[in-house]
Amino acid sequence: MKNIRMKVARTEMDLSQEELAKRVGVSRQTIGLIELGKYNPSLNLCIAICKTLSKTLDELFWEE
Amino acid sequence: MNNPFKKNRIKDERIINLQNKIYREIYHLVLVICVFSLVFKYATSGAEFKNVWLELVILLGTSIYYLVRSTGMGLFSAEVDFHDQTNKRPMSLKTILIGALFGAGLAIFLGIHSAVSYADSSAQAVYYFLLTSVVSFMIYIPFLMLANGFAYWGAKKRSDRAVEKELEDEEQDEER
Repeated sequence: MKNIRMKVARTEMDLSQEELAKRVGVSRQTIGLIELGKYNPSLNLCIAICKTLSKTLDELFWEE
Repeated sequence: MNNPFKKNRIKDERIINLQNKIYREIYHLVLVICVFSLVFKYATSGAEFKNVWLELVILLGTSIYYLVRSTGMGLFSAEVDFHDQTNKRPMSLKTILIGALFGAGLAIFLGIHSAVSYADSSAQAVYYFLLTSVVSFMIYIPFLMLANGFAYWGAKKRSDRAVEKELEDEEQDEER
């Protein structure tokens, strides 16, 4: 399932996938695959993404 | 309501991660054993291919398997990108330099081997060492630099294609 909320949060902060990847400390492909829902990130990676995008875990990763 | 006949799909990540950690350690252990075996056989029975073919198959086979799998899954591109964004020197340059270093090491090894095996006096040993080393330098350094460079280029191209394929949904979305 695609993570549209993460993509929206990233574009709201005017960050490219590459810039977000650099800030979080992962590769661009990993960010791309998380947004596509093709990779299930660890809790630590989710937290790092949330902190970088100033969002909570619920806001980005909780499926309604 | 939970279906009692349906198996629980959740796998214990802790167990899987620990198992993967152990498999990784086993792989390193096998590599160390192979290198020790190579060195031991070279020291005891000389540099004969028939003595060390199995070790070479294990060392080269596992490396080639990793390269094929990582390029097929697009992992190689991610590794290169991640390396290049955290290091000053790009991985392409390092790969070519490793080829040059390996070539230099091989040339020196062949020079020493030639001096030890065929020279009758120390002056002749120095001459054989220099002669073999210099010629080997001229052959192996450019050859291994080119071989490494082409292998890197081919692997990157294959891996980039795999990543593109995996991310193509997203690109289509962005085009809309």
